[in-house]
Amino acid sequence: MDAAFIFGNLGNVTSTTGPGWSTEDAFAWAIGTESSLTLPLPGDGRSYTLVFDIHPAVSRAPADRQRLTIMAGDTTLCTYTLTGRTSVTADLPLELTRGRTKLTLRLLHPDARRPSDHLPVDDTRMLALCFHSGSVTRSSGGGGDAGAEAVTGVIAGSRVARRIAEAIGKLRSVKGLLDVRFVDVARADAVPRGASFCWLDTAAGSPGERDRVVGRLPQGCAVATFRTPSVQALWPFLGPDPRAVPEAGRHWPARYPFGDRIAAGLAGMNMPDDVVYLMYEMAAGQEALDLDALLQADIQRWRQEDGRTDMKLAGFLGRNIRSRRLFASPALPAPDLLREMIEQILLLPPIEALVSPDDWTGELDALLDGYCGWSEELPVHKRVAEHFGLAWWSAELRYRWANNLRTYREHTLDYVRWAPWRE
Amino acid sequence: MAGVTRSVLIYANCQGEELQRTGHYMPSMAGRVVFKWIPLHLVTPDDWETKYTAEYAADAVAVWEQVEGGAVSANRAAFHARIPAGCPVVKFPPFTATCLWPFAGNDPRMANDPMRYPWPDSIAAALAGEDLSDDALFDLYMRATAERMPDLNRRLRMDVARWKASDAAADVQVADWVERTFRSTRLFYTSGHITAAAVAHLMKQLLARTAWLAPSLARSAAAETDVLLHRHTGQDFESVPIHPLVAERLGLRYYDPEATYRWHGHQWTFRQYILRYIRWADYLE
Repeated sequence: MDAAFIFGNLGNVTSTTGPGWSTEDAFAWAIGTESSLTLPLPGDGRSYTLVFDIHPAVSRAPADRQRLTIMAGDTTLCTYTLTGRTSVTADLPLELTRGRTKLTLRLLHPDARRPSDHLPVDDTRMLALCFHSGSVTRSSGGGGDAGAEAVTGVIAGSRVARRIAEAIGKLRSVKGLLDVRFVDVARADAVPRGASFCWLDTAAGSPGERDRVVGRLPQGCAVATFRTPSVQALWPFLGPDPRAVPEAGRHWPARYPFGDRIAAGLAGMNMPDDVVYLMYEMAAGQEALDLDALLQADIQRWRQEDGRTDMKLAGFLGRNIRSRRLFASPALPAPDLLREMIEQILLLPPIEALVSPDDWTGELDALLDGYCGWSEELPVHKRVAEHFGLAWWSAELRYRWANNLRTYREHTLDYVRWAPWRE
Repeated sequence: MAGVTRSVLIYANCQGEELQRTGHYMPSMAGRVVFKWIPLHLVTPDDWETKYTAEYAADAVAVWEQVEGGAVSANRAAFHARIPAGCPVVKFPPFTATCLWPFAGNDPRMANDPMRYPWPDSIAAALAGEDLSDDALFDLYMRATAERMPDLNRRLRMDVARWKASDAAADVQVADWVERTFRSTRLFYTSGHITAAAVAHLMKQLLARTAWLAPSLARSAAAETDVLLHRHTGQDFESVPIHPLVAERLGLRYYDPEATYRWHGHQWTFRQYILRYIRWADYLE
């Protein structure tokens, strides 16, 4: 869109103050049988398409309508019969737009009527058409990409793959060149026929499901793999809780799906919040833990996974695990890690041959600005945060779970009490 | 759950879904009654024949009906025809607020892409064709909105008049509470999407007026409402930031100019949101 026109006192169309108009806050009525409208044009050598969002002054009678003809000088641009709110479109030929910075239109609307004639109101204006907004857009035709066929690719996996495909598909520089589709590994039948490459998440689904996806890919389709990483060191107190059972129609697999073995031990404590929280903190503090060993085990696993897949994440994870929030929950990448995964897919064959980082880097920055990812954030324990010096952690940080926000302390208390919550 | 054959039947806009979900998760209601919701803004003529049949409504022991202005619509008439004879009806008003977003209006981009930013801002829309830096564009928006800021007290009076008119047609009243509360507690994410505080207030009023519930059960359910909604964010999946000048002029005490607002998968400040809106920028779910 090259220009937007908003009618009404709060809008930017200033030529609706004269005869033929009755302007209100959010729209302008064309009144009587003819109105004049002057609109700004870019003043270049292009042709444009003009669109108005209009609703007619009609009663509830089925045959009621308003006619509209839009003219520029002696040229009739379009003629419409309106029975309800609609978009009215007129092509502005080059001879009307070339070098011009404004365009004056004549609007002919012969069916104006008084609302007071058919409604119990005292509005006696001769109303014809209510103008809400309009736009001029460069006319299409002869674009450089015409005829070029987009390369179809697949990101196969589960929800992480879906988010990666969604993000890549929204990059402007990729549109038209790449048609990236998400395929759920449980739905191999959704693999598109023309796929020329596939990125497969080896952490998603069962080996059989992944094999079926690969088996549905057309011959010659290049297959690369990645593995959505997981982490244990950030959540060392995970453990079973006998209360964690499905609640039919409410919570699956459990009200609090990530068990906390320290908190589970305090279940049933009928004490004030401060006391329960203090007991939890003391118990967690006394737990024998080698957090460094847990992290080393994670790093070792990430390296092994790097050796088996085409995406290399171990270095990034090891360098940034302390300074950046990389995980929302044990197996769910936070936005910074998701971005790394997206970048690697864009920087590796075959996509890197189609689009340049110079084109998509800024777009990816904009797309991920303020992105917070998932509604499944598991609080990280204070002891863990202090041990690793997690730069992003604070006691006041609120974690989103479904449509709930809790601090680390609130989560702990709710968990100990197995407090009901709703999605 | 399978044996439950009693329902509280809710006929309302998306605010009814919040009531339905809250009721669904109440421990005291489990096995006693289910909550059903008919979305008045989405229901189609076909739905009355296929989804919301007489059988669907036959187990209703209470009806919670959101009132609307104007004549009885065909959908509402179809709903009324399905209410079992003698089933008590509690009417309640919708929550709405237009004064908080005074530039709501038209945007031509919505014709082709109505769901990207479904809460139009006329001033921002008029800047859609500008090719400026972020700072310059935001400055332009702030200047234009400051110049064209309507009389917000008048807008508030109009809202209050609407709230009172809805109250007059209902059994549950919210106008006084909203007027008393909206400056100190956030109640609205958009003109029609509400926070958990508003959901809780409405839910508790409805429970208290539902004759089928014994008073002790209604009290338990009201207490559970507070627990269930204590940490809940309400309908914040699309949260339209409030203009700082609006907050100042209406005296919104909860307002934080640095606050971020949820927009699908993102948390944006007012400035971030406005710039993205003007540029019609894509975002992630």
